[in-house]
Amino acid sequence: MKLENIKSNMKPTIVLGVICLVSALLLALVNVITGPIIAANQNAAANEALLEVLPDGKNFEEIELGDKYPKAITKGYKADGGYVFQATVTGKSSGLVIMCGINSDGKVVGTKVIAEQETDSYDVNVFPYVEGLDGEYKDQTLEGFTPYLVSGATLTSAAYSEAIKASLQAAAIAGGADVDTRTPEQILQDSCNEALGTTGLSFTKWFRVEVIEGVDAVYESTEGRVYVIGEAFVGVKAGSVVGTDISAEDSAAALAADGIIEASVLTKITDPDLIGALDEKKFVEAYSSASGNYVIVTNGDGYGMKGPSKYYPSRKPIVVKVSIDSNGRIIDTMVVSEHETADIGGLLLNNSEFIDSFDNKTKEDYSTVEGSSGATMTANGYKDAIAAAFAAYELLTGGN
Amino acid sequence: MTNNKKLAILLRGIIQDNPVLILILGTCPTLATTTSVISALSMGIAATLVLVCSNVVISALRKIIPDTVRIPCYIVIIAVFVTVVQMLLQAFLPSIYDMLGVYLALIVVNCIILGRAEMFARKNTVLDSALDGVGMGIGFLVALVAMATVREVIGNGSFAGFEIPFLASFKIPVLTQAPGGFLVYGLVIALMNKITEKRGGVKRKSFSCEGCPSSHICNKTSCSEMLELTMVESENTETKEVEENGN
Repeated sequence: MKLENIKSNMKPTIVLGVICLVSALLLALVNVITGPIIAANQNAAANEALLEVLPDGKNFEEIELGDKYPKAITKGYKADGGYVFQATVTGKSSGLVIMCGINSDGKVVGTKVIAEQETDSYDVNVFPYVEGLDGEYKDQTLEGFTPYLVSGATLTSAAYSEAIKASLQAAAIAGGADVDTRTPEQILQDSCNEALGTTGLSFTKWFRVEVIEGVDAVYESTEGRVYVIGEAFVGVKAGSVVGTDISAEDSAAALAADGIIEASVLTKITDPDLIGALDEKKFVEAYSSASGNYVIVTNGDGYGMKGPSKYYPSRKPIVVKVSIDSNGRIIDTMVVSEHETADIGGLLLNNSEFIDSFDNKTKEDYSTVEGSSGATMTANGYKDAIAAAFAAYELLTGGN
Repeated sequence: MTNNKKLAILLRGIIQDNPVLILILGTCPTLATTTSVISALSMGIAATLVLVCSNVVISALRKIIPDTVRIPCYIVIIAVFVTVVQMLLQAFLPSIYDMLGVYLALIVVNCIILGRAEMFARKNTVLDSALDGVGMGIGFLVALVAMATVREVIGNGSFAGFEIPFLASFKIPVLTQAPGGFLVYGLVIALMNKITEKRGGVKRKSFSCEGCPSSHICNKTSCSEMLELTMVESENTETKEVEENGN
């Protein structure tokens, strides 16, 4: 009985097994015939896309990308007539994939959008200007690279520019050149870490509340400060200069600056008579230092306050911190918080050139600082906050 | 007489037992690939090739394949032919391969092919099964091309990719979309019913049981009879429960 059961179960198993085996052999045979043809077809199809950005390219071969290539580069091909790189960047949305053809002279031949999720119709309108073989980036080189930025579609056009620049850098690297692919922010962070003898520390710009002569900028971290003096980065940790190849002059300037910063103590102004006299809608808080300087935090009416209510129903101001010296001259300004349109006003407030242009200005001439086309209301909002700071400064100093 | 029988097997799939319009099988690829005549023609030819080859092999192996594993065996055989067709199309007609997309691989689970293997090929000779495959394949092809012609000409103002000057200005795009597919499908079935009505109609009931995977263990002559029996049994059970609860 058991033997019969085994027999009755064995037959279906064997038949199914044999059918599967014969099927596998038949498929293997067909694959042997069609496999190379399919591979050749796929190569031809892939080359077709590559030829759209590098029409003179021949014999495309994929490049093995290593750490030395920019992070944005996701694919690369070497051809007889140049290179083709595919970069994945983030515009208004992530996943903006751009292909760029670069000839043997290091010049852009053509660019093409492979994939995009830029939902805003205005952003998408950038593509016809930059895509193809006669777009805005044609013949651009790494040395003289000029981004093509469009007001109102800044994020998309900046991302496109980033992809093209990364492709040009990748082409230079593939050609054997030594290219620094780090962003300016990465370079700054690396330089600060190097000056302080640390790795991976995050540095933030110190908000200047004291006038420090001879020092261009100060960056702080949990381990110490880094002073930028001309081209030198001088690290100071626990009152001592880090590093041996620093000139005596720079060391002295850095230590003097460190002493000023360490001695600088801010006292919050809480006198109700003084605070009560200030415009409560504009004024947030104020501090004074022993050296007679003031740090005043105020609100400014930007696009978040004056823009269409359907987009900004909560009505939030630009909050600005301003430090003013005893002579009524601005030492530093910075954005504490803002709710402007990310790719228009938000970009302006993240632009250090705009923010730094208020340094050393007085009540009389701060308004001469120029804003940015398309972000006028944000620029005016920033100036509005500075005006409020000067008004508060006058009241706090008794009209002096 | 024998020749007439063979001819009848061949022709049956085209009108009398048309798989798409009478048996209502293969609806998914029918709706998906009839947006253009070229894709419908390609799908029809690919499915016909698979149908003929799988019918022939299944018929040849009908005495070897045990009943208990017949469905897995049929699926493997059909899958092999579909994969072969896929590979050949990808190698030699890549544009058609791209056009058919996932629906080419889905021929593996096409009801027409598995249905003909189960209903015909496993009970008949190799030649008869081949003829049945050719007939059913042509029936499928004709139905697909007829539907695609209506959808492409009226919906897209073109035929096989060539624009028709006058109609291009008055096209009805909804016909190339899913709702239009159902609409045209319904209308073509209605037309087919009208044609077959004159010939005494279609015996759907006999197919219902024959095509049912449980037909070999079911002794009823039709599903409606089975349904009536189930309903009577259900009523009896309910009455019994009420009586028990009452006590």
